Amino acid sequence: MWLFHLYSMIPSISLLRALNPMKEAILRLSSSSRINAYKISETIEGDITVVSMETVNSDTKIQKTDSQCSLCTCNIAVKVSYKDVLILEQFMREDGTVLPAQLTGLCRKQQLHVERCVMQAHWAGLFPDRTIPEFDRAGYKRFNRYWNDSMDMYRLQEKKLPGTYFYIKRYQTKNSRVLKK
Amino acid sequence: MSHSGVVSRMNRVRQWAQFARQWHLMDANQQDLFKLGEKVAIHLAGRHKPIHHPETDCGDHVVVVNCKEIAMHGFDWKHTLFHFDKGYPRSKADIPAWQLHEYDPCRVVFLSIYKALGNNLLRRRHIQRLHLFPDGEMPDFVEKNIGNVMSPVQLLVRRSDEYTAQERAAFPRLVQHRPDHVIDWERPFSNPGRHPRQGERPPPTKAEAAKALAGGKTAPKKK
Repeated sequence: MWLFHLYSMIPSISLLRALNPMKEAILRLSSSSRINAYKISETIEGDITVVSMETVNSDTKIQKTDSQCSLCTCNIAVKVSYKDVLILEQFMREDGTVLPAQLTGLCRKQQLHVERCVMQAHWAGLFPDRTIPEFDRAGYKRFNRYWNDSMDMYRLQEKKLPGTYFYIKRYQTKNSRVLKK
Repeated sequence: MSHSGVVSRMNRVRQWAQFARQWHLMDANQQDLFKLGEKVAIHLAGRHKPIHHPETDCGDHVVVVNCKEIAMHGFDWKHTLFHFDKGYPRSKADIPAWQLHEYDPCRVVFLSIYKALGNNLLRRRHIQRLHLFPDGEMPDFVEKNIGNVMSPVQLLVRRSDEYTAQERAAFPRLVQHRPDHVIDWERPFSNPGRHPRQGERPPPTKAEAAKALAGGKTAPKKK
């Protein structure tokens, strides 16, 4: 009886041990200790301009742990890619540029990874409301594209495929008309 | 079809449908050109059917819509060249995929499917059952025939403006600010340009440049 109990306990204990770091990560994400942020405010009273730092309750609920960045400590299996628009836009300014590492609190590796992902997201057109107006979308950059991982833009190679003049044009397209007999 | 030996009515009808010409619908929106080509080619040749045999003409019709929204990997729109050759002198041409796509939004889809059908004598007959449309519009008779919607080969990616405010609010915050964080640091700023070298004058600001320009204009007047 006792043995039976012991054996039934063992898997649950090991499971708990495996879940512990994940639990900590979740706790870290959801712990409700609010941090104050500051905002510069200027008020003009006659000839005097008063510049003061106002305290603002920011919506960040997490505290920075020393020497570890928020993406590295995130023990949930998250490999940020260009598709994770809601994660990437937390590290961005209004105009779509990436905040520096001093402000994002990321380690060097993750900062570069996020920068590459943001650039890929811009190229894939995932931030239409957060780009500069002169972002280049001419030529081949107009069409849809996707990425497999964040280092894809450094692996360039030209492919040459056989094309054919044989083409069945059943229905009318933009530039061509179906020949009618 | 079933392990129990009793054929259900659903499976019986599905088997009958194998012998008929089915019409499949494929949405090319955000799908990879070549993965889509492989999948459509399998259905055009009837290779998805258990009754398939190369000499059995059991291929299906495939309707591909939204061809203009098809995607390629990375910079492949520029770096994929299609080689056209009529076999006459000066008739060779290498055309990048995006230029073909710009001229006719169905042409690269056709080429990828034609390539995926393999180099054999049957592919000309198989590809006659392909119907390509640049957008969602199609003739009525095509729409009436469609009996199956094929699953996409790639997951669709959502743009940032397609998320609702609720989803945004429910999403956890990952950024860890310093305790003395100032929100104004996050404001965008213009490109400050290159740092001036030692002994070099810094580049003129906009106001200075405008002043210099005005001065240049007024100089001839003084004469």
